[in-house]
Amino acid sequence: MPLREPTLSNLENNFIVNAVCDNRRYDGRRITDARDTQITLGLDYGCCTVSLGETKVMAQVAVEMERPKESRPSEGSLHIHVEMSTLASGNFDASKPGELGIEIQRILERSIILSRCLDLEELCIRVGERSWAVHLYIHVLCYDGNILDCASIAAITSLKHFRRPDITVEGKTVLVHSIEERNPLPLTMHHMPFCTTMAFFKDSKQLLVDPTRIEEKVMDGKLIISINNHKEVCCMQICGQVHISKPQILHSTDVAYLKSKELSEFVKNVLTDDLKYKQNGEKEQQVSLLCKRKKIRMKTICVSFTTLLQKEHYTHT
Amino acid sequence: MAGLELISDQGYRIDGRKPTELRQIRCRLGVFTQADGSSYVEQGNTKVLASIYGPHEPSSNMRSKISHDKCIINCEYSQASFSSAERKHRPRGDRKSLDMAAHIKQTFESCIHTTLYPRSQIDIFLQILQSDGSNYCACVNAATLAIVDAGIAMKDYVCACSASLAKGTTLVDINHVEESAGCAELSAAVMPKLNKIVYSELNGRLHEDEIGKVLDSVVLGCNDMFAVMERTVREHVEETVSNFTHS
Repeated sequence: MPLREPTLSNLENNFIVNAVCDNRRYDGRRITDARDTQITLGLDYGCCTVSLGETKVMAQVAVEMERPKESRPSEGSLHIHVEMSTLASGNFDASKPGELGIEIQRILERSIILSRCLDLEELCIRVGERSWAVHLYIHVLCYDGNILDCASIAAITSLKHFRRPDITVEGKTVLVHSIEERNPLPLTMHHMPFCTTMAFFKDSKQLLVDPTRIEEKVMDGKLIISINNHKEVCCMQICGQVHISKPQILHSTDVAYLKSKELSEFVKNVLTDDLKYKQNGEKEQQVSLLCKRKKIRMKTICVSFTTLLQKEHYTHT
Repeated sequence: MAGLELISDQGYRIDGRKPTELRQIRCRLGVFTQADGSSYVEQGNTKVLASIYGPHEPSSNMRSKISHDKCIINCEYSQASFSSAERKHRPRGDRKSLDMAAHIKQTFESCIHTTLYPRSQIDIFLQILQSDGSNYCACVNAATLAIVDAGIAMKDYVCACSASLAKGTTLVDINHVEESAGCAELSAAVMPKLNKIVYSELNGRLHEDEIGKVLDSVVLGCNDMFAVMERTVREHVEETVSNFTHS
């Protein structure tokens, strides 16, 4: 039975809003800083746990063989399942997905499946008869705000980490090779879209990147942008009590792009390190890397967000 | 994107429209007597019915969400099984329906003056009778007209429109064929007089540099939509007033 979420007191509310108006956050970050990201890869292929500060999300990929859809006989499929269990937060109900769970699932679906990030045609075994169905399970382990960013990093990392069994097609029979017979194959990913959530405050004049739980309760609304390394926006959503204008949206995409670029590099490094450990036979080793996010300094964002009419240049330290 | 030509060489779309042209819009207010406010909107072949109940005392299952300083908005979205080209039974708690309902609820939470109706509940019920693309936009437009019919206070009209990008030209008001062709689709709900974007969602891939162009055309489409909606409301009010004076 889920607990009722305790209401935030007016004092806390006012404290956070006033701090944001002074370009400060209660945990000492800059407004464009995300929390420390930590990626831990499991022993099995396709298992990954990501922590963004205190928020922890685990992702696991599994495949099974199925009959492909009749409208798309030469493609496999990707299914995303999001579990918001009560262990993450007392007020989550494991039986019903709830508004937050559905939002996370839909945004991940749009960002990963609809943007054609995974090559589904490669997952076809026999046209019209057999194909691979990839299932991505996302479990939220601890909720401290911004599950979506954490889940998107976990999803992309585990999809890239995963290896499916190798197969041989002989006429009508399909032979699946075990891991001892032949090396398993990775999934083909065309690009890596990462989501960035930005919270808006004070009549949409101030934005924060990566809100924590308390900031999420106090915020007016949020802007979610999923962008990949090639500057292509895969999914965007503006919701809540937000009244924003076009220059603010374009500026936010720039912020999201810088974060996505950094994350792409980080994830690639994590995966190559893991490969090295596995090749050296250190099977018991759990790779865990901490990334002190570089403080991206953007001169114009530190100034009021409404003065966006001049062309900005940002320095990356 | 390959195969189907969304824009011909003469610059016409599949259904013969120009790229910046909206579909034919027909709307009516006050279609139901039982509901506090109701409307019927047709955008091309997309037909939506909206009814509003409220503000009223919160129902028993919403009692836990009562707020002392504002009203709760409850939205239900349902797509009839005969609404799409292929008959498809959609169960009540479908993920896509819940997601769409949540989006519409968030849109109106920021536009209705919720602080004027504390401890109450406003219900928005939407039913899609025929779906031909831009479902979210037609729903938002229908809900706005129904809220106006119900007499609930709003900050401004909320007009929604969708746009896509094909061969470098932006197409406004996407229909189902253009949606399934695989191009990116940007829908936005805008408050035209305040010129603010209240809600926006993007499906599909769009390069960062092209977003500005598509956003501009969406806002223009919303302004066109606003002109039609305002005219409908004025005509409805004139008709209602003339009924009073003549009888």
